[in-house]
Amino acid sequence: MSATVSSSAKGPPGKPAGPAKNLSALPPDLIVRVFTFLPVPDLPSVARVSRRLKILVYNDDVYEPKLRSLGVVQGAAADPPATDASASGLAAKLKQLPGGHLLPGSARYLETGTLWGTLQDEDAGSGAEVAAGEGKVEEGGAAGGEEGQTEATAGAGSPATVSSPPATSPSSPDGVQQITASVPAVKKSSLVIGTGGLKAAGKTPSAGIPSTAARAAAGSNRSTVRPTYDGKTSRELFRQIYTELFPYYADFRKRQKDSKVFKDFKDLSMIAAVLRRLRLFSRAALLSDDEDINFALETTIEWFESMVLGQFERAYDAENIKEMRRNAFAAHQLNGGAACVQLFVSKNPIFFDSTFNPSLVASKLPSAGGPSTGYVLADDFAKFTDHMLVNCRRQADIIEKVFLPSMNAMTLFVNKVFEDSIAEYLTAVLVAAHDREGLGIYLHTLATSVHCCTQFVEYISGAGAAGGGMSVEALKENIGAIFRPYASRYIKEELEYTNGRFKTELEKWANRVSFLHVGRECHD
Amino acid sequence: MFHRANLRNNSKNGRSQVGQNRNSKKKPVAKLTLITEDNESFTVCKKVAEMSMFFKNMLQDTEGIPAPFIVPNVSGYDLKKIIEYCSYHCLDTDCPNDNDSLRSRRDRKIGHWDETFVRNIINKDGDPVIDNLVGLTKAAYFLDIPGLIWLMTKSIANTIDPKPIAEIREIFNVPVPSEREEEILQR
Repeated sequence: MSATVSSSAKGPPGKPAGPAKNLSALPPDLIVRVFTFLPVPDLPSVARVSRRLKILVYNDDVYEPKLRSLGVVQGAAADPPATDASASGLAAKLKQLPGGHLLPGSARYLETGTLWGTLQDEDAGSGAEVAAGEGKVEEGGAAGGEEGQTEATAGAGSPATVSSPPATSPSSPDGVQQITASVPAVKKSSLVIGTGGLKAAGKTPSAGIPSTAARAAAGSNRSTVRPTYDGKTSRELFRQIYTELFPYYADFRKRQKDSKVFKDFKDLSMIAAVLRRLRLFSRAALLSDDEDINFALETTIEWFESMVLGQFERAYDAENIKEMRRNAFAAHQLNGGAACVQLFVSKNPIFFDSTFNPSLVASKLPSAGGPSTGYVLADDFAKFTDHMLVNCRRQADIIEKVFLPSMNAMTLFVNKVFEDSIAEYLTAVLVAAHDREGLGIYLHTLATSVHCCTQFVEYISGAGAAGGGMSVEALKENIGAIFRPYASRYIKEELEYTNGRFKTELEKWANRVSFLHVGRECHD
Repeated sequence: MFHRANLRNNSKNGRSQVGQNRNSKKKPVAKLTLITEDNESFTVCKKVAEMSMFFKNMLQDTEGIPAPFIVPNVSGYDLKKIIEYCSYHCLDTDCPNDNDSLRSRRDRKIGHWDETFVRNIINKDGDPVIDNLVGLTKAAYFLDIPGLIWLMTKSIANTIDPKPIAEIREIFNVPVPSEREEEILQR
């Protein structure tokens, strides 16, 4: 069995005939992988080595990981899974054929063959065709065939990118796209093309059109496998981002605070956005000698952030909502603005409010005991939550004006209110109730405080809907965690009490029974 | 050719056994006999072989260890190096893979052992460096060993990285193009 297997499995990704002699013998997929490790400035020089390498450098696979690390999310998300499924389905079918178990696990090898063909193209018939295609390329845009080619690509390409706006994908027929369209034709080594080109000159260009168009269509068939970003290929998008950011990035080699970024952009949030993208750019490690740039960039970003926070703090002290908003937005653009929200929360006067002081709870109680004073505690807590609620709503207005909903400032703020102020006050009240009064008062206070907090959350989530969406679920969980120990303490004590009660009652009964016995014996 | 015989002896005493020892502490190890296309045979334990997705799938599909298995497309030298690599790395938990971000892929340093491993491929008997790298890369690709593919492609990228065009041409064995073609390429 193994003998037949070994002969039949020579196909897909293995060696082509003949021993490996140099890097050109690598399958295209592997060369593309090698390219993904190269710094971007190296790519042009590699592209100038030969046609084949140029085409491979233009392959979108080289740029996809870069885009991913630049934080670009794929536009047409529905596309790749479908193609993956079809590829793996094909792989599964192939596996079921005799000798199929020799195929590698992933379906990647299937991609190798489709566009580039096998490494050594033995398709004799394609010679003339390639020559015709080449002839056209040399004639420049004069031949109508080239437009036909681009149209074919665009036509076949657009249905795949359903979600993309149709305006962007078919247009922009720059030279680059033409090269991509004629990729299958240029694939041959330059020597073959040279001789074929002469022959092609004699032919009418139109003879080549149907076949090349078909090939281009086949090629673009493959290009539907490519994930696209709003109708752009990975390479085009990467080029756009790279050319946009690189001047600013390289500028950091020499300068920091006087960098071009600060000259070109005046708006604070714009600067922040550019800095954030530059940071991603530096993290993507696109250049090889970028350590000093990265260092300068990081220090600049730190300086910028502390500047924004400083301005925010000053605006907060001056109660300048507009200025606060501007800086909060910049901080959000820079890194999500968590530090800004933290600053806002920690500076908030609600945490320094001394109207209700937890340490004074016990002393506020009337000295005389009894059930009537016990209820004072619950009422006190209710007043406290009312007070907090009024404060929180006032803050919610400010938060709504200052922060973006996505910064989750309201949630953080209310959580902090609960964790710090309310939890502390609650502890004081409950401890006082427990220590000074009976279990009944403790239960009453506990129930009232649960009720108050529930109402608080309801009101706040009502206000919170206006003040930017806040996650009520997380808050509820938080409150649950605060109350759990007190509730379990109550249950434990109640159980103890009940058990004690049962025990004494049972003892009473036992005494009574034995007393009755004794009485009857005496009677007799 | 005769250096291969030496290497084969080495492989009997060398790393491949270390891998076996690591595993043999626990239970009797399932062994797999592999015969390359140039008729060299190797015995490896299952765990080492399963570093290769190719063998892993094969073992899953056949549900057991087949008789001596002929590995197509892989030469004895390449398989020996591959077994050396797999034996060393078969207990690793974090193999580099395609899903890693570019940064982690780029930044992941080639470990000390890996570096020596690559250097030994390079220095073998004065043979041209790139040949063996290429052969091994293709073999790793065929057998689908993610970690080794990463190591090889990264090493190749490192050889290309700072070089001018002329030298890259040499590495890829591309003839110097005529002026006209150069023009086309530069466009």
